[in-house]
Amino acid sequence: MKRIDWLKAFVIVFCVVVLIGEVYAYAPAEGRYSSTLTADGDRLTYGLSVNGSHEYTAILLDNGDYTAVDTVYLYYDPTYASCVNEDVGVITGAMKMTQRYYLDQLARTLEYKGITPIYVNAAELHDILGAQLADGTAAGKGLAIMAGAIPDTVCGVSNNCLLDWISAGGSLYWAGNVLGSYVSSTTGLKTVAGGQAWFVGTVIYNSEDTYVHNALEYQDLFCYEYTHTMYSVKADTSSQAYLLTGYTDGEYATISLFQHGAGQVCVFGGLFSPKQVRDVATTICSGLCYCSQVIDTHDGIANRQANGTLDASQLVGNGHVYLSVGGYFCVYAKGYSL
Amino acid sequence: MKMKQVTPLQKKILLLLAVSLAIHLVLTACYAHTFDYEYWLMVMQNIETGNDLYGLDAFYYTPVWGDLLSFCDLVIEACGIIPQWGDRFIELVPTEDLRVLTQATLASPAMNFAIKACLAVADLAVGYVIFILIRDLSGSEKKGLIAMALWCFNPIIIYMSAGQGQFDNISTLLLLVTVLLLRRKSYFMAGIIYGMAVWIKIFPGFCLFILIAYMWTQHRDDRREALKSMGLAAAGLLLTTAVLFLPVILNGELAQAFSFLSSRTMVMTEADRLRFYRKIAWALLTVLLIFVYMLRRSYACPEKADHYLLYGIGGTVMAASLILPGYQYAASLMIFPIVLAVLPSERGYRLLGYAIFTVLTATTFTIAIFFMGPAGLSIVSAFFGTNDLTVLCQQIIDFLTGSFRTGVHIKCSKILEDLSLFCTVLIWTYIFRNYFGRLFDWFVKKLGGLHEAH
Repeated sequence: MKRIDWLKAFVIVFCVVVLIGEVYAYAPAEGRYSSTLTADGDRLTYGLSVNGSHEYTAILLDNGDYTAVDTVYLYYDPTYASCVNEDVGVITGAMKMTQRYYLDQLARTLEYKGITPIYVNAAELHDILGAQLADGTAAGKGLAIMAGAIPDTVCGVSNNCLLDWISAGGSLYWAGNVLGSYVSSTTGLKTVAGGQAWFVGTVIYNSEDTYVHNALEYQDLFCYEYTHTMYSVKADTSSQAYLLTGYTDGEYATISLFQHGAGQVCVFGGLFSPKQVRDVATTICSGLCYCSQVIDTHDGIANRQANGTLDASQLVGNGHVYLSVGGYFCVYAKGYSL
Repeated sequence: MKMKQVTPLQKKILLLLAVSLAIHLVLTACYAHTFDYEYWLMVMQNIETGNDLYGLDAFYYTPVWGDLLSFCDLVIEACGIIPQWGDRFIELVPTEDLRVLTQATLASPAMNFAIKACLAVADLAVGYVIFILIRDLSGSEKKGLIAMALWCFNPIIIYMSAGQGQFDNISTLLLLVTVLLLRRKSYFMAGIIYGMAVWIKIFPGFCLFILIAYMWTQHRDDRREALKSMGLAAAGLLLTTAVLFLPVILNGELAQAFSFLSSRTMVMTEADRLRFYRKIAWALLTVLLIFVYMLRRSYACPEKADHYLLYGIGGTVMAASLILPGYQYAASLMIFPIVLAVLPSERGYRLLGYAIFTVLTATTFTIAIFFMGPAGLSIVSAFFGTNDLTVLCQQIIDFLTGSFRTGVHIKCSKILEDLSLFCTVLIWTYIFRNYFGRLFDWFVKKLGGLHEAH
């Protein structure tokens, strides 16, 4: 009988393993995870189809009058001035957290959490917000500005359509600097004294790079990770309704959601970080808002698939179901507005 | 059917491997580096979400390790046996403020075992390959077993795979398999596996010239054959490189794949960068010297070419480590002292090998232990409740911010850097002594000839 050449066998096996791994890493992930939600009176039946076996969470939120986001715009305009610290320390080998890279990471994270975002520049943003204001479709739309400054096409002396758009139901997601303090143009930045008050009803914010450790309500439910509160708003000095989540030191929270008319303003504390990216994406996709109440939750293990029923009998306002697979290592998520 | 008898040697080998595996598993269960592991899980998470190796932030190396993690992910998902990858423990959140690679998000014990089991097997495979190489070159099974034991029971080797979960041992394994294949004149396969070794961790790349020199001396009487063998090896290397990097290039992620190199110089001060470049120059010069010496010696003494190949590889990796000395590269560095400790016939060199082995093991292991301290108990404490997490958190903070830990860390890192420098100086001294010694012999001989003519 011919003897096995163990050395050659090892080489072949190793190469095959690497090759299979490579193909799996670069193969399209469509079909690995999916979900369904059907409503039958007060019963919401969800179905999850997962790759392998994973822990999952199903959350039913009562969002009052607020309409959760299903379309997200990412503002990016390199011809406009920005005002964010892109020189944040990263670990060896990691890419620098520039605004461009941050948005790219946010877009990718949003995509596997069920929302494909749309990039817009300053001019397009003006047109889109204007059109949505005109036809009353701002509710359910989200805008992420991570430039540290608001473009003058939507916020200025002659034109303040961003605030009007939020009041009409739009949701602003903000990180990277003090909200409302800078307006940008192609020629530079203009400082706006007290601009933050227009959005969140207070001018008090955290100017220190602070780490906070105490978990707030919903931190574990939504798997929030980032613990920095620089640029966070002192919510209890605001006249607007708000919800704080993530982490806190008792004064500032990592995630602050404020009511603004029919819409909301969401401020994420801290300098740019991959953990912050994940928290922003989770907040957008989960439909969490300033008045969210958890009506029902389920968690368990999905082995290839899982099914369950959420009880919506206590639901009064707009309902939103958030299905998440993988816990802190989330591999799939999807939000359903009822 | 007649059962095949297990020979006493096989029994010894199996016993060594079994005990080593047991130690690996015990350490894996008790102590775990939390930081690297969170990133390995994030790489698998990104793959699951369709963001390949570099789409989302988490993977900072060339592709092979990512592909291996991808394969692990595939197997884990296919078996569906690990539903919980990890969890976050609020009591440990304050440790993240220290920015010394401590984490509150921890891998689950099952995930911790799943990946480290593969690394443990790689450690055992390296031990076995070392045994084969040393046995064949020295003609002594005893020496082979000693070399194998020096690897398999080395605390830093065990710690790096079972504790920290680092994959340098796979790179070492592939480099040694390349040597085995070259000795058997399987050039194409050697090229393929060498490509894997280089693109898992960059260190083996420095050995390229040594391998070329070896192939050249294998066919010193037939240059056409030498060129053919090198062509085959190069084809294997290029094929591996092309297959590994094609998707990376197509996705426009080449910069991310090499950011572990570029980002190191970006954060340096001007003075540090100059010092860094000086070290690169010195290391490259040493590598070049080893290449020239090895080529000449192998030519002059072809029956010893395999010995020179092993010394050359060990010395080259040691010299290259001067660029970036670190305890985490111990699995690559350990070849040199082990080979030096068992292979030479001269007792002096063997003692030197043991001395380097001892200092290298002691310093790297001390740095490793003092790097994490009680933070290594996080996983077992959090998931099995062996320690109160609030107390553990305070212990971690006290330890990691304490001056004792910093002092030990700085001192041992300096020793490690000095050891790398010492080894390069040793290599220079050895080679120059041989050259100048022979020059002296030649001179004396010439003088003697002149005297006789007179």
